[in-house]
Amino acid sequence: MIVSAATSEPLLEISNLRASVAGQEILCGINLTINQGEIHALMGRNGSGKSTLSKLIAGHPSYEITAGSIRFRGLDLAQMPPEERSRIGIFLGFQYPVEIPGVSNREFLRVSTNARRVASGLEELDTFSFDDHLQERLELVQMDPAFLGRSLNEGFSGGEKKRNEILQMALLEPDLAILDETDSGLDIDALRIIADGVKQLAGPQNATLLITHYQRLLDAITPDYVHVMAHGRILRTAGPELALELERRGYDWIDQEAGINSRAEAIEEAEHELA
Amino acid sequence: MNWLEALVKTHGIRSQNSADYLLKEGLPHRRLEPWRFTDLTALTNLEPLLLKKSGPVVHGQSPLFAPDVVRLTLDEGGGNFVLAQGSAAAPAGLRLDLENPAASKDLDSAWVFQLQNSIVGPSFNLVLGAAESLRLELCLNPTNSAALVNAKMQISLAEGASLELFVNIKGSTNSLVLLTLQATLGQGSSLLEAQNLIGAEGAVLLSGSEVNQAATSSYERTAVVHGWALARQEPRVVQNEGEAHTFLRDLAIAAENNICDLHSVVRFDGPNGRLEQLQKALVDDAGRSIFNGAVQVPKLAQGTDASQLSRHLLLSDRARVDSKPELAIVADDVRCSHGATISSLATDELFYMQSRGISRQQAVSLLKLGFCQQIINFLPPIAVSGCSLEAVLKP
Repeated sequence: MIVSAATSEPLLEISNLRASVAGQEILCGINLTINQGEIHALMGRNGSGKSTLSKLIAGHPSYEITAGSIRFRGLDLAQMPPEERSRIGIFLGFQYPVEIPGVSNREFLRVSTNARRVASGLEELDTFSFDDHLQERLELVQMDPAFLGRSLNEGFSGGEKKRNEILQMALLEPDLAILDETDSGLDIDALRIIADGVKQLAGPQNATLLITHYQRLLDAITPDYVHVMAHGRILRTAGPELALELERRGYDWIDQEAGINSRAEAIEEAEHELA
Repeated sequence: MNWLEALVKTHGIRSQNSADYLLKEGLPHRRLEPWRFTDLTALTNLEPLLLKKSGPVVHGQSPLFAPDVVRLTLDEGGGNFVLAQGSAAAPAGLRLDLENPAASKDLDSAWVFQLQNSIVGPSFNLVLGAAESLRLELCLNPTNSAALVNAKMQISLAEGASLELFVNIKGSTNSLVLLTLQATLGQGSSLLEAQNLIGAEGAVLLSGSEVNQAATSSYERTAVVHGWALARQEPRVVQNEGEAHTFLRDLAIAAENNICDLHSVVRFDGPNGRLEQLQKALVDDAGRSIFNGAVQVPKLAQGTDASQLSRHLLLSDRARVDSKPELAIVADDVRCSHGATISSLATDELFYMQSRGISRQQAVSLLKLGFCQQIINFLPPIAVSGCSLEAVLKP
């Protein structure tokens, strides 16, 4: 097991973060603090910048930080490559996990697990030890072992891909798990299995950031904080009751309170970002 | 004395007709369409007078001991095939010292055959009778530099016969390897051919095959080629009566200044034939890959089902790919498809791996290996034993 020391320092501290892709500003001053033991939910319309924020935290090379900072355990992530971020405990569960033909899922899981273990001062697992370790984690997500012998995510259904993401999370034991729309495309049973897995992995030593559109994931995993993003900013933060209110009222009232008058304008802007 | 003349006269003439043809035609040049992209500098850089026939090439048993496999290698003088140590007994239909002077058929791209037929070299003739089966391995790993290996394989499979043919070649520095296969497949017979062809600095490989298939026969070829200064392969398959299955899988890895050139021809001379062709090349540094894939479906070949896919992975700004699918389809009731892609490593795939703690360097290596794996998976263990591609693909 990978254990990180508990500290009073915020696990993740984002300050006045502005970012762009291909010269287009997408994040316009994000402030967000996440401490150990907390579960946060980030909600918002398509194109509001949620996935961009998650990729920025994980270090996607296509996005450029133009102002502000992202600190993880006090370390500035700006110049840190994605693999280093993973090794120090940041995990991004992808909305659309990529398919990589020819790369064995089992080998990929073993290499990534060992990268994290070595960075945490643990010994690498040999093939046999890794298989034992893997078996335990498979049960957590109730995944068919046959998927281990296949190429990474190749031909997996949407639900199988998401299970594979949570399996990776279980193996890497991150300090901060960011799950980008992990609930999308899941049937009710798969959602329950994924949610149970996430809940079992969450603890006082780590933190979770759930990016979602729907209350149904938050019915299974109760967040400590809910944030609403629009137009590259976090417009509102509250407790879990905010998600319920969004479910009832939609996002327009948030826009109005923030002084954004037109929903059409918001959608247009979102579509522009997506394009 | 020009280069060809020096080569032929230094190493002895196998067929005077071929030698005459060769000396009259000379070296192929860029004005000939099949050779338009092929730079023969690596070939002419080899000094004909310094090339020596390869000596014994296998010591000890195969890395992957398979007692049922007939293993062939070369004798001390490099002039004849002999049974290798640990080989199963040769079947009655295998003749190792046969000099067959028959020249190649009249093919447009027969230069490689003519070159090989011009020079004395080892050859074998294998005839498998009805319903016979055999596993045969050819292991040619010259130990001396500037080696000349000129191997000719002639195979005839009677109805229902089955042959698994493994060709393992590891060229030495500045060596010239000429390799040809002529095979006739009877009805319901099966030829599974796996080639693992590893080059060396300055080494040149010229290979050609002519496979003629009767109805209901199956020909499956998987070839991996890498590390040659120049590797030119010319597989040619004719389904004489249609109704047969052909699978062609080729992987080329071209780095540094390597040139990998594959010119394939598949012709359907009857109805309801089937082809699945996958060609992949990984091109790095100033490497170059050339693919010309001809599929000929004349009017009598109704019901043909042929697919051809060419995929290139470009890893350097200096790397170059020339890909040319050449489908000539006259029959109107057929299903023929082809696709060709040339791309570099996908940013999202790299990021996905890096986001799991895998270094960029290791991610690149895994992606390269993954790209190749789709072909390598078809090589039997005996064809990949002792020559791991992972070492080649490490950054």
